[in-house]
Amino acid sequence: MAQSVQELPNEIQSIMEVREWDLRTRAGVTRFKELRAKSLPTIAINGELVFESLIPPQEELIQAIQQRYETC
Amino acid sequence: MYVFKPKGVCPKEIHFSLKAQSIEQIRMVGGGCPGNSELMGRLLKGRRIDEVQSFLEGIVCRNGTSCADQLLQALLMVQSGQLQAADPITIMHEEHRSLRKLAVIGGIRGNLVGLQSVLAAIETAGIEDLYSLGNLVWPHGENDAVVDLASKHGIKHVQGPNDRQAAYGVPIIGVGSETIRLQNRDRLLLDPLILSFQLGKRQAVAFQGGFIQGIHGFSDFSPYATEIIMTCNLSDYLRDESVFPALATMTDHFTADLVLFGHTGQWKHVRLGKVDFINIGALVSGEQYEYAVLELKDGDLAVQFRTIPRGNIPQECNHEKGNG
Repeated sequence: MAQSVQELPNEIQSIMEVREWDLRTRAGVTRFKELRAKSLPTIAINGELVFESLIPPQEELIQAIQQRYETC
Repeated sequence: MYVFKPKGVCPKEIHFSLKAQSIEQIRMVGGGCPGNSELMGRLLKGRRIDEVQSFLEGIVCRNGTSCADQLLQALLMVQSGQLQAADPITIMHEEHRSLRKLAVIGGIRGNLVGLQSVLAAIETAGIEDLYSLGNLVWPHGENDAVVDLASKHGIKHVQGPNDRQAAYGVPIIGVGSETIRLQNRDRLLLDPLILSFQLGKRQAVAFQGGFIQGIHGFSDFSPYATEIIMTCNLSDYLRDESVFPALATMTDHFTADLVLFGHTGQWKHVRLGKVDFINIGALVSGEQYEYAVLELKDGDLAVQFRTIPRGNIPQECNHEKGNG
């Protein structure tokens, strides 16, 4: 999942800030529960769960990021 | 904190802490004269190692040595780098044998009759070992009698938070240090926080609960930390079943494939991924005493939660719960 985010085009990378959480850590568990996530892997955008239990195709991920960027 | 295992003297361990090469605290654990031990601690507190050397050397009690002499050896080993600070997250490894059938009890809480009942029930059941997940002691419990009985029967015990506080002489309401004999405080102190053992080919870990995370020295990557954080924090001791998919995924990161824990007082067995999670409940369950028996049958793990009616003879009842 982390790799799919790292491979996004530069123009997408430039409009977002990425935070990766390790669920083995206490901080990671806290964030996981704040997001009310249930399974792995998980991507949240602007604090909202968007993708869960799957690694989205790059086009879908880009679209989800752009949609939320445009409505910010 | 340094932990030194002396030779030729009564205490099993010498625990001491230093601050900038000065002695902060000394405790002789598991034997010896408590009065002399306390005196030594008071007299040496705040003194530098090189200052106390002349006080400690040359004192002989038995076997050509003494507590003072052993303490001196320990202090010199610290100075030379041969003795490192002990890991405060103590793990007991049962490395030398693989069990096939054991009983597990939780939350004894000073209940002497309950412990006696379980010991009587398992006496003829072919149980190889009895493990106890804290707390042994509890406000207004028969704490000394329980610790004595557990010690007499060689029960392997992991500390609960009350046990740990009692061991360090921290008063708990109704369980002040003055109510538990020093010998039993030492026994509790020597109990580990985590127990690691083999059940057949299954690698198992047992702990009381997530309070371990609050102990100085615990890190997210300590041995068995993943098991503890996933069990206690992520799934809230298996009470939050909505995160079971994530918990199942995370079992790939576990060292153990059998996780025993207490804390909740509830009995539960769940298998997720490659791991069996067993919540060992409290000894007293309504009008019954309850304990678990874990056994390998044809290579598979069989878990029974057995009950003993309080006041009656022991009975066996299969209490298999969860989707194990």
